[in-house]
Amino acid sequence: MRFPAAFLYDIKIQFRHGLYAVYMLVSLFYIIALHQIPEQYREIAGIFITFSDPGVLGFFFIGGLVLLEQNQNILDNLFITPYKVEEYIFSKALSLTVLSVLTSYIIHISVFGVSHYLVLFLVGVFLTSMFFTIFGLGVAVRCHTLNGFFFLSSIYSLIFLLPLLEITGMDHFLFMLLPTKGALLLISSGFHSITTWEAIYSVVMLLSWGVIAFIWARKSFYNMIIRKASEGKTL
Amino acid sequence: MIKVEKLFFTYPGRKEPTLKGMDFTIKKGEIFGFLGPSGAGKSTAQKILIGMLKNYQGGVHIFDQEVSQVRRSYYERIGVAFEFPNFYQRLTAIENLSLFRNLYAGDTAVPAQLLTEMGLMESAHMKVAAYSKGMKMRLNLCRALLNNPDILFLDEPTSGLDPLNAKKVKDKIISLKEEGKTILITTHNMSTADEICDRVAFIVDGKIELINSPRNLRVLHNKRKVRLEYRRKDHQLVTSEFDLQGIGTNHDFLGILQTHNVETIHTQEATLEDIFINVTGRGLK
Ligand SMILES: Nc1ncnc2c1ncn2[C@@H]1O[C@H](COP(=O)(O)OP(=O)(O)OP(=O)(O)O)[C@@H](O)[C@H]1O
Ligand SMILES: [Mg+2]
Repeated sequence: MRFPAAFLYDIKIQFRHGLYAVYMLVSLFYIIALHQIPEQYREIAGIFITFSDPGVLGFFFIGGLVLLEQNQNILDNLFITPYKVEEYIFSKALSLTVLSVLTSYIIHISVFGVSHYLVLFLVGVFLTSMFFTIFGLGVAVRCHTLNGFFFLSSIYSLIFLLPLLEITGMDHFLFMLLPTKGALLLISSGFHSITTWEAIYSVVMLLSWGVIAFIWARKSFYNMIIRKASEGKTL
Repeated sequence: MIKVEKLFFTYPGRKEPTLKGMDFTIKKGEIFGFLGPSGAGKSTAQKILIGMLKNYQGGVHIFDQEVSQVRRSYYERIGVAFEFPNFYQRLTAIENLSLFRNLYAGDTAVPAQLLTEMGLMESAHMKVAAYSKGMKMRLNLCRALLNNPDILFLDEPTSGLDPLNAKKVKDKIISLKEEGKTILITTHNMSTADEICDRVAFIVDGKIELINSPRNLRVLHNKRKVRLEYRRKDHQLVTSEFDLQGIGTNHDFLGILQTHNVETIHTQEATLEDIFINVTGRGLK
């Protein structure tokens, strides 16, 4: 019962902080904007927007949520219960990912219709969002203020956004090692079919990076929050 | 239940230890009070006992385990109310309680019932952001009770409460003791300690100066005197003191009772506060 409850309450808290309302507006904006774009560019714009917004949204919102709990000293209260750090991270990531998947689906069907095969597309958004949210949590626990978080997260995220240069024609074989390439491939499957190998490559990359991010975020959380609290350092 | 030996603790970046060798034991079903002035180390000691601060020296045995080694299941069995009541501001009181309740695997209390006992049921669906300090303090106690803990750690549970609500909290603590719970409370409030604690520890500067029951302390420090105020014939108010010893045959005392209009008559009990100042040479505030 612990995990489902924590997960549902995370969604409720995000809802109460207006994240869902904001995202309805943002989605509406994207839908209108995409309709304005000339047909031949609409697809590439769709891929780009889906990746950079619903996909990466968790990365930025997780910072707000974790800093909020940290500043209100709620973390102390959470971790004098049997709640585990792993559950905490997973619940946060999964709850924000729900919002990502939901908004990218709504944007997609409102702009491009329901005719496409969307399972791989949604898997792509799901894995992208899980990776970026967990990664963002690892960044957030290193920060004390939202400004600090935005500064640090821009630096951390830059490297993962490099493969976006592909759109401008620049490419590098090392981009293949980043999860971003896989994310873009899977998201593009919502517009035109990709090969099985491309799909496998993408899922494997995103999953591996997800696991790496999880291990890193968990370690960061222990070092920056739990261990500091256990030494009596003020956060 | 709780056994603490030679407990030392130093915060990082501090030269002096904050706790300088504490020794005490707390028995099952006991209400034990930490009393002491601000900065004495009460909250620090409590944070060690709940397994939050781990880099201490000395021994802290709770449920027969060293507390720095406990697993997360330890938290199924203890309840903690921190000094400052922090909640999710955008959730209602009852939502906050059900969130925290769901983090426990074992049997849990019903939030609505706890809220009723603390007089918060009418405000159960109010966001915590709109709660007053006193309401949050009571909600904080409710949260600590969610998992029916065997040991309760309450840091200043009555601070910021009006007398009526403070009484609710004290009555609840006493009824928990009757259920066999072990309770450690921290307070600067001597009369609260006097009313509910089985034993108190006077803590000054990271050390325990004394441990005893409030009643014993009062008896030990009793001045054993009777003071009375009476009106003389000319309506002047006069105060006199007499030894309690042999008061039944004290002619001066009996004479006043028979011939004058006595307005007040009291034994001179030392309050816990007097005793604290006496023993430690320090005030409480
Ligand atoms: N995180 C911390 N880092 C460094 N020093 C600390 C920290 N927390 C407390 N202290 C110091 O340790 C000492 C004891 O603090 P503690 O909070 O335990 O006192 P207390 O007895 O609970 O006081 P109060 O009655 O005001 O709550 C104080 O001198 C305080 O400044
Ligand atoms: Mg304190």
